[in-house]
Amino acid sequence: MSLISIPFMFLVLFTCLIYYIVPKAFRWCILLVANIIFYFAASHSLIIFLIASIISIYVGGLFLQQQTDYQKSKIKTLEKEEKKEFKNKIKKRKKWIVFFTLCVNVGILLYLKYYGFFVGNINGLCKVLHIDFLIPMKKFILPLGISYYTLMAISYIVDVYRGKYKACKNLGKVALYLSFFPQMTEGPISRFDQLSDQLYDGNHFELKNIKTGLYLILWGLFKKLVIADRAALYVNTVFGTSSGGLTAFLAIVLYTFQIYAEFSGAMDLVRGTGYLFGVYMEPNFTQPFFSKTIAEFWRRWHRTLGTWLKDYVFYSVSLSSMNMNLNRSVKKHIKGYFGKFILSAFPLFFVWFFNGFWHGASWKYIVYGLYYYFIMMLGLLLQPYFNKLKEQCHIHNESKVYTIFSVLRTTLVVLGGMLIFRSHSLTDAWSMLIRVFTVHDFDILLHGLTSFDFLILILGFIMMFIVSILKEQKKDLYSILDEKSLCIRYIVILVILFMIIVLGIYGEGYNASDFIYGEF
Amino acid sequence: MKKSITKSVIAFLVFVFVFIYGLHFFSKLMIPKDEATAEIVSGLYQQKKDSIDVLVLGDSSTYRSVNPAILWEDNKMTSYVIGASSARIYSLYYLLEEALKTQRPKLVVLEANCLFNTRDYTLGNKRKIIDNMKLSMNKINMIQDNVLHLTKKEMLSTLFPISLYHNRYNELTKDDVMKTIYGNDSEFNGFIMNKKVKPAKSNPYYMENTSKNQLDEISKKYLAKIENLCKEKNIPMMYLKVPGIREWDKTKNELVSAYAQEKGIPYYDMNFKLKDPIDWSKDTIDKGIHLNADGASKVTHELSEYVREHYNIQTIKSDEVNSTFDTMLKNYYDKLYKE
Repeated sequence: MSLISIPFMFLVLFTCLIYYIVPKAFRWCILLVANIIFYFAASHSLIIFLIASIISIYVGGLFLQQQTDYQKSKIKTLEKEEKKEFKNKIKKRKKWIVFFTLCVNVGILLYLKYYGFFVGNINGLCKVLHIDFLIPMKKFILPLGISYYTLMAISYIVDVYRGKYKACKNLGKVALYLSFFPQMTEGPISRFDQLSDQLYDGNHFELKNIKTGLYLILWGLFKKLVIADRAALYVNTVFGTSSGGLTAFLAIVLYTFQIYAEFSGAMDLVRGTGYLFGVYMEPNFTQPFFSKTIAEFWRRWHRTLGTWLKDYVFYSVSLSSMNMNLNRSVKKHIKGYFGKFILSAFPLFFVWFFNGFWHGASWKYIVYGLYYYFIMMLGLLLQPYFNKLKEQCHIHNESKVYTIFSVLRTTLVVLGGMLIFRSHSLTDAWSMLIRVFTVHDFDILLHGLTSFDFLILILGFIMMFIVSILKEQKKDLYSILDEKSLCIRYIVILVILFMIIVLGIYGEGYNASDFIYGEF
Repeated sequence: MKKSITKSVIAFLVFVFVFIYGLHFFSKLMIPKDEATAEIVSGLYQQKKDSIDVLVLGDSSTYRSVNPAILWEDNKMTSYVIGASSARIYSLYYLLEEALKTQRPKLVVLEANCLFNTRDYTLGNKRKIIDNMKLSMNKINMIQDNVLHLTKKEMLSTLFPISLYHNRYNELTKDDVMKTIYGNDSEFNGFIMNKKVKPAKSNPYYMENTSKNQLDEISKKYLAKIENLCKEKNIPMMYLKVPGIREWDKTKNELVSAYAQEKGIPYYDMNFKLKDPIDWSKDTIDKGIHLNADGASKVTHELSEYVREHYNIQTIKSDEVNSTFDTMLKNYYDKLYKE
């Protein structure tokens, strides 16, 4: 069941109606039933893996909470010397609980999603080393949203371990958190403390939420069906062929545009659906193409993944004994800026490695993550020299020209990343990059889009640009629209609605139901 | 407070109305129009109320054989050919229902070729008819009729044709817009003119061939429905077979003849009795399947004479209708000789 399918719309409509009819205390149950219907319709028997994750974090959470409570009650009765020993004992137990819970969740993910990758590499290595060893290859169908809900499951168990909040004692409520149906396909990767109250308390019916939700859904559909899927017609025709020059460069630009419109559009749909139930979810994108640096870009692009990696990879690595040892060693032997650089670079390597690896079971994705790592580290390493150069040339960071230059530079780096991301393999990405500069190909109208299609894309780009500027200025677009007269509001809605219906890429001959980020 | 609620409700209703109207407009705009069946079916709605004396039902062989301009020239009889590519008897039944909502013809002529072709046919040919019919209970009944074998998805798509045709935005022409606003009319009231000649391989004895054809249950069922409909409206009927080498034979003629005799309905097979016989080396556009303008002229003169002799169809039409048919006749000859 795709986010833009008619069954999904009916599910949302009926769930919404029933949600506001039943007493507040039971509203969370309605959402849970909707989750089960949605997930079962989308993944059938693969729901078993989701159930396994839910039970594992529910039980793991309860055990952790039990240990925490036990520690609290017992510690008062202990002598000072015993306290430390007791605390360590409990900590060790808790670590084992976390370890086992993570084993279940990460194990399922690794087995289903990465089995082929690992086995392929092991077999390949054995072949190179002339070792007669072959593990049979298997291919699994991935349960819907496994990459997203596994991260949510990890965040829950680690947060309970860290004492950020207490474990939830209700299995149904844990299940609701992990399987909230609007976010199952493409995230966002929400945290338990962000969602729990909103999901469990039973929200009031508020017209403002419904309106905001519908505006978001409309805008999301526009971005997905009119912009992203139209750009995809060109992108899919050019990538994988021997096109070069402007044709290939435009394909890279349009792919970047496509993935942004599609992923942010999907987030609008998800958040809009959440609003219908009075549930606010964190935005996953905050105008990423206004970023002046790559680090800033990743703070604005797929934010919930970025913050997850920061909280559960960066901090974990930073606080690990291995990093502590490295810290001590570096401080002792390497002084100055380079020393600081190494201290930053070490934990960040894991962040970017996991970022790439999370995106897919292929070296291509690992290189994709490390590409950004390499660019960022290069920037960090050369920062003192750049600063000096800027000082000598009297370039101010805040000047308009430098801002535009920085934004364009960041966008170019992102285009490089997107080239890797979209290409079939690293070799394909490299050869396409070479062809951009070596082949003279300007026939952009021969690749699935007419000049009218390009006109629509330009119009869509302008609309997205204006919306981004307004958001960047902290103006709430939906409030602005809401302040306008009813007539203007309805005209805007009708125009967008008819643009979707007439100019949207859907129906026979097109498959609009697949989302790129839904594959992860 | 009460005032503002009323205002909001009215505004919402206006919004819904504009949305539905817009959906209807864009659906009409996007449906392919430059096609024979589309023009014929939508042209039916362009006819003045109660202006048609003779309705001719049939498939492509009919709309290439019967020319209302000549019927008008010969008899001052107003007529319309409700023809559709590969039309099946059941599709023609629903089209007749549609026509009889606005017309009270003095004669319904059913071309017999469709009686021997009742197996399921392409979705495209069904859609050419359905998409150009106005939304009504008749259309809904047609969509739901099992004989059409439409899936639920296809049924839904026929009610919202924009979901299928919206990707035509790249092909839209000024003509599409004009026809959406002013209506898509059939230039010669259902007759599709073609002056091309592609001779048939000589087969003068095709009417001596026999085959294993039968009038199946579907044909009988919808024939009965058409007959009942005409009976209900007190409209006489006749069966006709226009000349065609490829699809007609002695067996089919005998089957229709026997059936017509049983029902007491006149039957005229032009494969036998044409005074000015079809010259298959000159009068066909595709080796004997369809007739060209000259062939159609021969058939229509013959039909004209037959109807004049057997039916008393004389009605006084308004000046507007007379002028429309005069113009059509003029346009026909202009096109025949000047182009």
